[in-house]
Amino acid sequence: MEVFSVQFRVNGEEVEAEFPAHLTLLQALRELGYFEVKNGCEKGDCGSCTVLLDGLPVNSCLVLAVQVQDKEIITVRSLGSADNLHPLQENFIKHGAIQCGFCTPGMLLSAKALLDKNASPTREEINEGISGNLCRCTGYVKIVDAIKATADQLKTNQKKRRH
Amino acid sequence: MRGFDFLSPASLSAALRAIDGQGKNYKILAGGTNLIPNLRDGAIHPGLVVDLGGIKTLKYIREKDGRMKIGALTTISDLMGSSLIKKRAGLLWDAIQTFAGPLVRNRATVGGNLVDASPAADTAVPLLALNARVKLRSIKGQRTVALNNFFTAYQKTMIRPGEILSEVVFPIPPRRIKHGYFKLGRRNAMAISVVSVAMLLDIKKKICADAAIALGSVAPTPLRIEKAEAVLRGKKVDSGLAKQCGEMAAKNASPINDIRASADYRRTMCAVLVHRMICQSLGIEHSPWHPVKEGF
Amino acid sequence: MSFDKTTHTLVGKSIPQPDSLDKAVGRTLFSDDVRFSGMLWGLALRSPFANARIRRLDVSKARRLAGVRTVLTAKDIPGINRRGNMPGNRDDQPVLMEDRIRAVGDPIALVAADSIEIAEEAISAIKVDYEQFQPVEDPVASLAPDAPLVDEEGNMISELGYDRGDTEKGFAMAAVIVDETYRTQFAEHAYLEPEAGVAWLDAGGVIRIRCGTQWVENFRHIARILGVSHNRVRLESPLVGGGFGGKIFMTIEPLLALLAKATGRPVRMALTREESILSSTKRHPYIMRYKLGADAKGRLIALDADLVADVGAYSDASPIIAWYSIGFLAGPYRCENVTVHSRFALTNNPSGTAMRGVGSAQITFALEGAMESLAEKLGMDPFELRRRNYPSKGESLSTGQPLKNAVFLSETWEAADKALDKALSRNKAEIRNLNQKLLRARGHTSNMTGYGRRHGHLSQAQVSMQLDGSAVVSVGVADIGSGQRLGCQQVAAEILGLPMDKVTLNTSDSQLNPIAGMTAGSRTFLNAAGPVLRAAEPIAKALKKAAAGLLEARTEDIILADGKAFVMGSPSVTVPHAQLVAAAAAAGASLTNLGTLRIEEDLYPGEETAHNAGWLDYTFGGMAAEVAVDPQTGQTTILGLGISHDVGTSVNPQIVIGQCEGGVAQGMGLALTEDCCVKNGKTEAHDFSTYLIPTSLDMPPIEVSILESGEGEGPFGARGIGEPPHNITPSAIANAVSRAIGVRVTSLPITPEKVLVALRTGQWPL
Repeated sequence: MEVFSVQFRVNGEEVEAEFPAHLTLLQALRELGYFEVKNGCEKGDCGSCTVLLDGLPVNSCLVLAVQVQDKEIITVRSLGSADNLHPLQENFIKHGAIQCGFCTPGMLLSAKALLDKNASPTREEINEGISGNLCRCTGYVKIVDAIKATADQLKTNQKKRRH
Repeated sequence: MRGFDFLSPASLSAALRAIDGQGKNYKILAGGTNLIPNLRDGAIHPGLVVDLGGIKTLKYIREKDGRMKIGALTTISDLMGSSLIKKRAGLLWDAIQTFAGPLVRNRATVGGNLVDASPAADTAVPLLALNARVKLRSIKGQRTVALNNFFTAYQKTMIRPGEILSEVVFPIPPRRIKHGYFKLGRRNAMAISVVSVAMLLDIKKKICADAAIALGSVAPTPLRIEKAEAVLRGKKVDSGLAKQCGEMAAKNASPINDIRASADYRRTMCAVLVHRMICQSLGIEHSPWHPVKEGF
Repeated sequence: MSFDKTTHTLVGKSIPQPDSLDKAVGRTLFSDDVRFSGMLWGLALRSPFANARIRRLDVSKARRLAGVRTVLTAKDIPGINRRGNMPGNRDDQPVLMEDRIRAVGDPIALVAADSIEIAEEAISAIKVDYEQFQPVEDPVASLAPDAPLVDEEGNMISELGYDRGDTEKGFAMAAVIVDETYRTQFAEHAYLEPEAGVAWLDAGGVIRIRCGTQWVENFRHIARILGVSHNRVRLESPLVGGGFGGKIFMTIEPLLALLAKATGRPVRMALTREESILSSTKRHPYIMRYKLGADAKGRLIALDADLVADVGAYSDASPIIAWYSIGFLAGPYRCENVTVHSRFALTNNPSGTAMRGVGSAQITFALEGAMESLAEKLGMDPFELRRRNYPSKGESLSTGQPLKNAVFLSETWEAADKALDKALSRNKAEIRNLNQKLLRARGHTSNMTGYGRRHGHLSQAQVSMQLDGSAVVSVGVADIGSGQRLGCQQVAAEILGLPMDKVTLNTSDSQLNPIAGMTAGSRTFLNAAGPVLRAAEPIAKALKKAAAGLLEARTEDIILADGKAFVMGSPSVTVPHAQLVAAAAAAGASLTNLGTLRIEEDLYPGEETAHNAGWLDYTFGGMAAEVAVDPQTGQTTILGLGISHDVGTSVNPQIVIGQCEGGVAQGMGLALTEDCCVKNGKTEAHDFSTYLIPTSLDMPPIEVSILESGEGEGPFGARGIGEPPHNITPSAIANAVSRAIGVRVTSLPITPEKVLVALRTGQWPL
């Protein structure tokens, strides 16, 4: 089977690998050990495999690995680490927004993309922003709470910095 | 999804050269939101996949000479981020708000949505009402066809081997023209339409000078319902006429039973939604508003 | 059991789950997230037909392919080719099909190969010659005398029933009678993590399987299939990406084990979503005929319930679910004349199994609908009708089982109604913009969900103190995300007086942990944290005794908190746990202790005639929903939901509320959009674009009102709360829609189409 050499960046690290054309970005990332990218449906229906592709949240199952030449990919691993959590991660934990946790990596990235675009979203806008990410455990309530709390926190921090 | 060749040309002409003479052995990859799952499922087995993602010149939204030109590779998110679309193509703007979810919208393209030719295609329905035309390029040249003729059968279009849909263009409706869009789905996000309705209504001195009504998911292709439009033209539009128009729309629909709804329900919804959207877009009293008693 | 919260430091605190940190940073290794070198890919060939016979099966070509390491069929199973069932239940499901196919997705052959590509090629190289038969699709038809047999032993796998009083006489005296039939659909658990896992051979000839499950005790079934003794199989569950009942009985564990044993190599399997939905178990569709009779004052004087359930192709958990259901059929109402009857029938549909609210969500929907109709016929307020029939603490259910703890049915109904007001006040903008022509109504319901077995229950856990004063809890319970591990940790920390981070957990390994049973049935806090509490208590006592010596005080005056001991009233003089451990050890105390929870209740009057139906205790709740129905499209919009349960003691309020919100969301799906759409035995809705679980944009404001009677059987007086919020939701929504459209909703899901037919004909369609 013919393979294609692809160079791209994952969480800031250069990756160079060879993939057959049919491999999806989801499959490629998991083969490379980025297991935080979850396989929930492989049809773009659930959002478990969400990554940021050049800053935009996408279903990595709907991208071929050969399409990401020179692109920048962010998984939840680089959002924050255990000793240096991103405020979103901190609030997801604190607000009980994580139950089984299978949707969490994707959900966090959609939330990040939302806040990057809209620093003070309403609850409705948050619901809209995560509407491509299914969660079967929480009913989304605590997820929205956590995102809202993060937005409020970031806003307060900004104000503090300004003064 | 096994064993295909892959090309990612940097220009449209390179892409056209790549597919020239390939017959039906290739697939064009735009946003990939339908193509990639189909490849994975083994529903299609192309020998070659040509990715248009690297062709920056196919990504644009421009207003020129009273017409809106949208490059085929423009994503739904690009459209949502465009104030031009919001201000000058409100019907399309309204329709894309309910397109799948944010993740899919970041990949799915206008061109891909049209070429995919699903009867439920969320951009096709408003674009049909907007009298859009699509530009089809090939190595030999180009042709422009009306979207209304573009869809030929279920998931079939006029695209010939060797052609790539490069642009969608439609006349920008004058400001006086009212529009209405409604997507009836089973969920509020990530929903495939059960029935969708898009319309443009040109009312001069209370008389309907022109009307364009398109429906999704009620026939093998997205559909303009010209007979329903004719009901309105030249007449004073009131709720009664709107109702007649809806009934005509229902009569001219040919829906099927599927997992989302029955054909009967869809037909009834044609009547209900066309009636309702006419009244809503014109701000006229919608009456009667009562439970559907007949036709279903 | 009553409990006083004020003397505890951690109980009642919203402590986050111990595993959330790893989940948030993407470090958690779920079932499909580990790799071994030399690992093979396993795939199953599954039947596309629901009812067929294998005329010929030829795997020779597949076996010859380069890179294929094994191809297994029924003949290659070293032990017994049955998946196993609970004692006394029909063991009717082969691991690999022998000749008869009973369901779509039945595995026929297994392949392990060097890569997924080769495995796929091998699967397509297997030739199966099927003789197809018409599938048995209807459970009622399946029970007809001339129906084709799905199983040689007969199509009825369970028939249960009991009588109390004289139902006929009750109806004869009734002022009003309601007679209605309710139906529910096949529902998919839709855990976001599809079935996946690995198996490998370990030292000492032990087959190890790492696969998400709600029940590690299934290792015994695997041993029987492999033909090895129990000590040669070790099943461990990583954190599970959602279960909801669908991962209690085995999924791919035996397939993994067979492939690993046959090849001697590590083997990985991971189902696609389609394969998962097509081959997995579902919630049973129920057909429930309810006949209720009341006197003019609204006293329920006769209840006749007849249930027919679609078991699907294999008995799986059905016999036990049948037994659960028989206990619920008469509901949480006082009624002297009762006849309940249930039949569980095999078909060629997907197999029914446990799903959140097992055997009772369907019943709540039907019974509470019928109660609404009864209130209407009586011209009585629905709450008033129920209030006249709710039993009180100390009174008995129709089975005869006395209710030993608080019965907050009125209280939760009223609290739910108030909660709904609050929810609606958060939805003012949408409500203001609502078209006035929409049909709006509020609906209410009551619910009772059981938790804990009454007889022969045994679960164990171990607590070990470390020399530095920290502790390790070992308990064989799986965590499916709803706080199972947290519950054990919080209980141990509370009893031992340790901060949370000084208690670590070692769970869900069938060989390393004492067995605490399945994570299911709203039982886990009782049945896993319960033994943890019992294991920790003697240790705490030994520590207190040591502290008493060191602090020169009485043992009963010692308080353990935050890793220190002090004398009540003098918190400034403390001794750290490390010192207590040393002192206790020196005094000969055991610092590792096995805790056992054994439940064996006395028989209640008439228990044998009710098939020993009933639970250790029940959780009672109320719910209120407000909906707006579009009379022209039939679409239902939920404007707000209020839900209330008496949870006994809310040990961790955030977990309790999270269970309520999540359960409500699932219940909304069951009420409005979720349906497997089974045709010819095949689940037509086999992806997430057709099997419609709610998205974030579908969620109305939900207000949760937690009541605490302090009376429950779990640690600190807690009651089970995993399932009740899910059970109650479809009923509340259905009752609201019924009132909005003036037609009783008698089947789920409530599709726009059914609503329109109901509005047109005055009858809810089948």
